[in-house]
Amino acid sequence: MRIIFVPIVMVAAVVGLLWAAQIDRGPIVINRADEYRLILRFGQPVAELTEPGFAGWSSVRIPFVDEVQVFDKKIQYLNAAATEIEIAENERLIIDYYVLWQIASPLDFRRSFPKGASEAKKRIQRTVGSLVGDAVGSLTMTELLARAEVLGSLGEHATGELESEGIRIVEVRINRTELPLPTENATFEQMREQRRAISRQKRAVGLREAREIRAKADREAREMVSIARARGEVLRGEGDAEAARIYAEAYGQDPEFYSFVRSLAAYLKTLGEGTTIVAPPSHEFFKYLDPKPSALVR
Amino acid sequence: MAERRDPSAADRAGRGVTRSMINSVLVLSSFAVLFAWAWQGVYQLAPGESAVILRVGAYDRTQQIEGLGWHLPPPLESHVIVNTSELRTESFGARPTRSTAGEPVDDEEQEIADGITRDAVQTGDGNIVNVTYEVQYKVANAFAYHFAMAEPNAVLHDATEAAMRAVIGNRTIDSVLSQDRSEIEREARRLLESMLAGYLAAVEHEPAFQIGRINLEKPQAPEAVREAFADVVSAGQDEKRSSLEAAGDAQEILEQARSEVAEITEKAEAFKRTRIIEAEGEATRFVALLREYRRAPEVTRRRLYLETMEEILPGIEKMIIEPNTVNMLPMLPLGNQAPAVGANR
Repeated sequence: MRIIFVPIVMVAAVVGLLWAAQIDRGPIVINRADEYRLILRFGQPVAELTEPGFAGWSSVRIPFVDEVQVFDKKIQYLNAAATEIEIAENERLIIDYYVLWQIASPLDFRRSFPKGASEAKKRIQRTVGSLVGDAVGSLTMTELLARAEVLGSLGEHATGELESEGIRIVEVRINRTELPLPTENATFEQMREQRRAISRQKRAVGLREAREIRAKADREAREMVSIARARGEVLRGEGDAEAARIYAEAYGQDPEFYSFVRSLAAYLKTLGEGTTIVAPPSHEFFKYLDPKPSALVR
Repeated sequence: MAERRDPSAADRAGRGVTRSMINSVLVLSSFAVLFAWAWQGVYQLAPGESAVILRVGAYDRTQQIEGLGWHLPPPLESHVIVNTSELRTESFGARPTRSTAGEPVDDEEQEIADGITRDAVQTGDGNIVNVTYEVQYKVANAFAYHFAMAEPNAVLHDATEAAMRAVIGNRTIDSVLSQDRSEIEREARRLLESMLAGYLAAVEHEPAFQIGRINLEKPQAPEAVREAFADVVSAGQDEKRSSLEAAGDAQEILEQARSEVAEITEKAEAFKRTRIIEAEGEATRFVALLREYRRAPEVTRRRLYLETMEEILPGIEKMIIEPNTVNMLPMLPLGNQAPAVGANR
C-alpha cells in the first residue's frame, strides 16, 4: 500500500506546490519571460526576479508572509494625444507621436509609482511631452518634415530623466503631423499658385517651341529656294555659254556670210507694219524697176 | 499502524475490506487528479497556428504541428497560441466602403468636421498630398509577438504610419505624384523593418513581424487644389499640341519650298536645254546654208536678199525718192497715218 500511496502523495504535493507557485501563493516563485517579480517581506524587498524561470534561493518565499508583486517586462505602447505645437517661425503644427517604454528596474519602479502603471504613464507623458515640445519648438517646418531622426536622441534624453524611476524609453517617434485648418488653407492657396505658375510656364514653353519650329522651317524654306534660284542661274548660264559656243563654232566658219544672213533675219523681224522706207530709185533693189529712175517720182 | 491494535477478527476482516476500498478509492482519485492535471497540457492547433511553449516561465520551443499536442502540464510548461501564417493587412487613409451596396461612402463632410483629412500627408516642401496605403505582414516570431510588446498591432500601425510619412516627408510633392511608387514603398518598408527590429532588439528579442510589402495607391493632390493640378496636366498637353501644330506647319512650309525648288530647277533646266537645242538647230541650219552658199555664193546671196525683201516690203510704207529732191521731206507724213504717196501693194 505504502509503496503506491507515498509516491502519489508526494507527486500530489509537488503538483500542489507548483500550482500554488503559478498563482504566486506557494513557497517558490516562478517568474515568466514577460514579467518581473518582486518579493516583499513586510514591505521590504527581499528579491527582485528579472530573468524567467527559477532563480535558486531568491525564488523561495515564506508563504503567508512574503508578498509577491508582478510587473510587466514587455514594451509598453503609449500614444500621446495629438497636440498643437508652435514651431520655429511662428508656425503651428499638430503633432501626434507615440512612446515605447519598458520597466527597466521593477524595484525603482515600485518605489516611484506605488499606485502602479497608470501613474507612470502620466509621468512619462508629461516628461516626454515637454521634451518633444522643446525639441520640436526650435525646428522649422522643413526640418521637421524631413524627420531625419529629429527625435532620435529624444529617447535617450527621456531615459536619462526617467532612469532613476525604473523606466526606460525605447522610442519616441512622431507618426503624424497635420496642419491646423487655417494654415492648411494657406498651404492649399500656395499650392494652387505654384501649380498656376507651372501651367503658365508650360504653355509659354509650348508657344515658344512652336514659334521656333515655324521660324526654323521658314528659314530652311527660304534657304532651299534661294539655293535653287542660284543653281537655276548657273544652269541658265551654262545654257547660254553652250549656245554661244555652238553659235561661235558655226558662224565662225564664215563671219561675213553670217552677218549678211543675220542682218536679213533682223530686217525681217524688225521691219514690218508701220515702217516707212524712203529709198532712192537708184537703190539696188529697184535696179530693174526703171532704167531711168527719176522719171517715176516726178 | 492500525494493525498493531487488537480488534476482533471480524472487525479486523471488515476493517481490512473497508480500508482497502478506501485505499483503492484514494489511489483511483489520485490517478484521476493526476490525469486531470496532465490533461491541462493538451492543446489544439488549427492550420497556420503556432504554439509557444514556456517551461517554468522561460521560452522553450515553438510547436507548429497541427492537431492535438501535449506539453508538461502547468505550471511546468504553459502555451500560447498565435497565428503565424495569416497574411494580415493594415490599411491607412482608406475611406470606408459600404460592402453591401458597393458604393464608396462620402465621408468628406465628416473629415471636414473633424478638421483632419485622414489621408493628408505633408511632403518635404510643405505641400499636402493625399495617400492611401496598406501594409501586409505576418507574425514571424510568435514568442516575440506575444511576449515582447504589450500592444504589437498598435505599435505596428503607428510605426508604419511614421515610416510612410517620413519617406514622403523627405520628398517633394512632384516626386511623390510623378515618381515610381515602388521606390517609396520599398523605402518605407526598409525603414519600418529597421524600426521594428530596433524596438525588439532593445529588449533582446527577435523581430516579431515579417513585413510582406507596403502597397501605396497612386497619391493624389488634395481635393481643394485638384483643379490646379489638372490644369498643369492640360497645360502639358497644350504645350505638346502647340509644338505638334507648329511641326505640322513646318512640314507644310517645307513642302511648299520643296515644290518651289523643283519648279525653279526644272525651269532653269528647261531653259538651258532649249537654249542649247535652239543653238544647235540654228547652227546646223547656218552650216547647211553656208555649204550651199559656198557652192554658189553670188546667186545665193542675191536670192536670200531678194527673198527677204519680198517678205518685208509688202507690209511697210515705201517711198522712193530722188536723192536731190530734198525739199519734199518735211511734208512727208510719218507715223501711223494713212499712206499719202505711192501705191503699196
